[in-house]
This record gives sequence, structure tokens and C-alpha cells, in this order.
Amino acid sequence: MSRSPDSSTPAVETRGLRRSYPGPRGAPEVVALAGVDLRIERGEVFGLLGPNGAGKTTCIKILNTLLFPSGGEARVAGFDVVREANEVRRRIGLVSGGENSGYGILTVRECLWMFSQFYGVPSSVAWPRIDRLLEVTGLTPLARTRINRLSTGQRQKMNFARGFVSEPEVLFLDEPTLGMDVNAARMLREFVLSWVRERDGRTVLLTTHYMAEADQMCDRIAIVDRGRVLASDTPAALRRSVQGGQHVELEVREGGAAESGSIQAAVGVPVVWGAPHPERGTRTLKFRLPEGGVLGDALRALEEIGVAVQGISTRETSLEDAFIHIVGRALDDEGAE
Amino acid sequence: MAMTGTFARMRTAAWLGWQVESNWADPVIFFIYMIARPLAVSLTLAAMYAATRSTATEGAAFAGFYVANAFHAYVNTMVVGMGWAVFEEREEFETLKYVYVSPMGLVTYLAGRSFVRFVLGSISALLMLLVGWFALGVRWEWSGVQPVFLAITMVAGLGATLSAGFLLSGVAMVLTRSAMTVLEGTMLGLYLMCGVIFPVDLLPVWLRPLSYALPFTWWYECIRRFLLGRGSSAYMNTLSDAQLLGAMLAVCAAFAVLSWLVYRAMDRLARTLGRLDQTTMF
Ligand SMILES: Nc1ncnc2c1ncn2[C@@H]1O[C@H](COP(=O)(O)OP(=O)(O)OP(=O)(O)O)[C@@H](O)[C@H]1O
Ligand SMILES: [Mg+2]
Repeated sequence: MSRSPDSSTPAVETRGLRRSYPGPRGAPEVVALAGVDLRIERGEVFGLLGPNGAGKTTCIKILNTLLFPSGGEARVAGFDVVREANEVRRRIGLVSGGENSGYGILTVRECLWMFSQFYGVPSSVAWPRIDRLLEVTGLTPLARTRINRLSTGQRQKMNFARGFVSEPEVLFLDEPTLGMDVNAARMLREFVLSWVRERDGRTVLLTTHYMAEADQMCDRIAIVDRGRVLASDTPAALRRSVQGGQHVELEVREGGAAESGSIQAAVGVPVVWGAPHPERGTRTLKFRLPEGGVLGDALRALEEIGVAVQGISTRETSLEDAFIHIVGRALDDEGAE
Repeated sequence: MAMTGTFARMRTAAWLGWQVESNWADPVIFFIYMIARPLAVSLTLAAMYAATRSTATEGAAFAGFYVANAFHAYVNTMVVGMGWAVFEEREEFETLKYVYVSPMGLVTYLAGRSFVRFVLGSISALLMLLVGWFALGVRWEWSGVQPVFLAITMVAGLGATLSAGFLLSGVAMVLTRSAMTVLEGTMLGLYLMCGVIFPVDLLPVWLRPLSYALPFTWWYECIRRFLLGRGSSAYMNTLSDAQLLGAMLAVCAAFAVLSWLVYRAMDRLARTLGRLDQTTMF
């Protein structure tokens, strides 16, 4: 039905992609994308990783022909998203996590069938495919339940299945596992990976806030912040970009007199605060000890400025470390500069 | 191939439309909406004219407005239905964006949905005509009916109704939920401006050009002329049958072009503003 993928063109290509939104009443406009260059090859699982407001969803909306860019160029499967929107639409699928979409009056199965019809999938192909997707998402027992009777997570799963009924060439998953329980999220991650592997030249562009998800699923990752791509590489290469050394996590007592500034000076490298543990009255302090650095020296320096260390752990470089190194802050400490 | 594909997709959209429209769990509500309401309108109209009735010609004038009112059911159901479908998809089901980015596209989808509304409008119109014929004496001479002109009139008028539906759907794409009143205001405006319940001659002079620019004014006048044998407007009565039909076709065609241009412009605006996936309580 649809033309076979032309493997010579990348699945997604953007050049200098920009988008701004008018600011609220007189305020300056919000720049969501400030010149993004991406090149995603056929057959890749590609991740966009970035803090809230980085511009990930905006980028996906533009690639899905929902939103015009303010500048630059974007192509999906070789077609321009502005001038050749209809060609793009034949080849894409979209799943947005964390929303409550669906025709409440239809059953799960009917809703999926209907969308398959919107994509011109013959019913004889659509029904077995739908049954398989219901199985994968664990919705088989709910197949004949009306959508307005589903829980949020169940709707989410149906929405996920909807993205696959047309077997799109390029699939956009915007935080697909948001709001799902741990087991469901893991099953669906595995399903996406096998879906891509079993088919030739299918591409997935994924955004997520879960580092492990990005690490496990993506062939390549672009780290975005404030509308710019800061780095783009394989997870392994991103990890490697944080040269050697040791990652240290200290559990320190809260309420010490020392500030981040003096702590940083004492340790001699940038530090990041992690989650507090109110039940123990402590908080996690993370930093990367450079190669050749001696942990004992750092601990002594901290003791001198009155930081009480209650626990120590060290580990290998993770994707999160790379993220912190590149973005300058952790994914979860929102707005921290 | 492409055509049969589009047709199949429209059929699916119509199927969905039927699921949505027929979802009044309660048949009583269905009855009120489909039968009692049009009936109430016709009885009100009859009472209004009965109160002022003094000569035989006024009885004939009543028939003209009664019939126009019956056919106005199409405008009421199809135009409102299409505009409302956009709101409903975006705000209630939150599916507008998925329909929009599917290869079917919103145009085919809305056309499919409008078909269900067309069927509902037909039922409404037919009921009103039946009540008029048997209970209120709104009748016509079968020998005086001009079937060919009347058939052309119906096709053009329904085309204009579909155009208006697209026009309002386009506007609904960029409007927020609170702007639903625009839809209602437009409907009320059409009701008063197009000679549905009183002759356009009664409109203030400065409003008449607008009335003559609307396809429905001509549509209802053509129905009166070709079905009942008698129009309602002094100006349009000076036109011959062929002139009246020609004028209606021209206005309908111009309106269709205009509606399409507005729809396309609104579609682009919605993509510029990012409205297609916003649930708006702002
Ligand atoms: N419709 C809109 N109107 C105005 N500003 C917007 C609109 N949509 C997004 N923005 C702004 O654009 C920026 C990027 O938003 P976007 O939704 O793309 O971020 P994101 O990376 O998807 O974030 P998150 O991880 O929270 O989903 C943000 O600053 C946001 O406030
Ligand atoms: Mg987002």
C-alpha cells in the first residue's frame, strides 16, 4: 500500500529547526527550539533526552505535521513536513504518553480498528494485528470494554497500541511509558525493540525522562536543553565522553552549615545534590572524582568544613552522569542552575 | 484506487459519527431531539401565523416559511454538527491530533461525519413536512412542482450546507472552547438572515446585501418557487425561474470557494498557533 522505505534518505532530518511561541501577554516570546540539527537513520531507535521544557515535544509535533516550525527545515522519510505533509502522514505514527485520549463510546477493539481504517489497513490485516497488540499490552481481557471504563494506565496502553496498528515507517513515542506500572513499561520497551528488529528499516524516535529507558532502548541519543542539541551519540560513547574517574555518592547529614559553593571548593569538582532522605535526615551528594583523585582527600576536606558524611558509595559512569556532565544539571533537579 | 480508499475512510468516519450521535443511551432523549423539537418549532410557527392571519395570501406565505424552516434542519444539524465535531475531538476525546496526522486527514473525516448529520437532518425535515401536510395544511400542487429545478436546487443547497460546515469547522480549529458561542451566534444569524421565518424584505436595507450574499437565502427561495410555485421576496419574484436558479448556483459556487479558502487558512493558522492538540479552558 505505502511505498517501500527508500533507504537512501534518512528517516528524520532537521536543519536549523526553530520554533518559538508567543509569550503570555506582552512577555517576550518563548524559544522552544533554537536551531536543532538531527539526522536519524532508517532502522534506528533514537532518543531525545532533556529536562522539562527542553523542546522535545515541540520537535515531535513539528515532525508530525501538527505544528509549523518558525524557521529551518524538517524532513521525515525524505518528505518536507510543511510542503509535503500528506506524504509524511502516510508514513508516521504518534503516541503521546500521559494523556486521556480515546472515544469513550467505543470499545478498545473498535477504537483500534477504526484507526487502522483511517490508515487504509485492510480489515483482514488489521484484526490479527490488533489482537496481537492487545496481547502485548495486556488489554486482551478488556478488548470489548468501553474506553470510558478504562483506568488512565489502561487508556495509555491502548494509545500505545494505536501507534502500531498502521505499522508506520517512522514512529514517534513521546514519553510512551509515562503513567504505566513498572512491569507494563518493561514489557512495552521490549516490544518496541523487537518490533524494530523484526522489521526492515522501521525507525523509532523516542523521548523519555527515564535514563534507564533511554540507555536500554536507544541506538543513539541526542541530549537537548533549552531548544538546542548539546550532544548526540550512542549511549556508550556519551558515557565515555565523561572521562574516566570514579562516581562518588555520599550520604551527608542535612542542615550542615556548608553551602554548595564551599563544598565544591573543598572537593575541587562540581557537585550535584540528589534526593533527600528525610527519614534519616540525610541527603545525597554526587560528584565525579577525576582520574588520579584520592577519595580520602576529598572526605578530609569535607570534614574540615563541617560536612558530616554518613555513607559512601562509588560506581561506574552511567548515562545520567554523562547527562549531568553535558547539561550541567541533573534531569530531576528542575530549574536548578 | 485512491478514490475507493477515500470512500472507505469516509465510511469509517460515518460509522464513528453514528456511534457518537446515536449514543444517547436514552431513547426518550433521542425522541425529543429528533421529533419533539422540530415539532415544537413548527407548532410555534403555525401559532405565530395563525395569530396574525387575516387574508388567504398570508396562509400561502406561511407555507413558504414552514417549508424553509423544514429544510433549515439541514443547516442546523450539519453545520453545527461539523463545527461541534472539531471541538469534541479536541476537547473531549482528545483525538483531533491523531485524526489530523492520519493519512485520512480532517477533510475526509469531517465529510464522513457530516453524512450522519445529513441523515438526521433528512429525518427532521421529512417529519416537519409530514406534520405540515397532514396537520397544518401546508400542501402544494403536485402538478406545479418543477422536479428538475428542484433537484438541482437540493443538490446545490446541500453543497452550500456542507461548505458552511467546513467553514465553521475551520474556525472551530483555532477557536477556544469558550468561543462555542460563535457557533451558536452564527446559527442564529443564519436563521434570521436567510428568509427562514420572515421575508428578507423585512430586513433593514443595509443588511439585505449580506442576506443576498448567503446561499441559503437563495436556496429557500428556490425551494418555495419550484415546490410551492411562489416565492417570498419582492426582489427575487422579479427574476425568472432560470434567473433565480442561475443566481442561486452562482452564489452557492462562490460560497463554496470562499469556505474552502477560509478552511485552508484556518488549518494553516491552527498549525502555526499549535491549536490542534490543545485542550482549551483558557
Ligand atoms: N503552546 C505553547 N504556548 C507557549 N509556550 C509553549 C507551548 N508549548 C510549549 N511551550 C514552551 O516551549 C518550551 C518547550 O516545550 P516542550 O513541550 O517542547 O518541552 P519538552 O521538552 O517536551 O518538556 P517535557 O519534558 O516537560 O515534556 C517550554 O518552555 C514550554 O513552556
Ligand atoms: Mg514533552
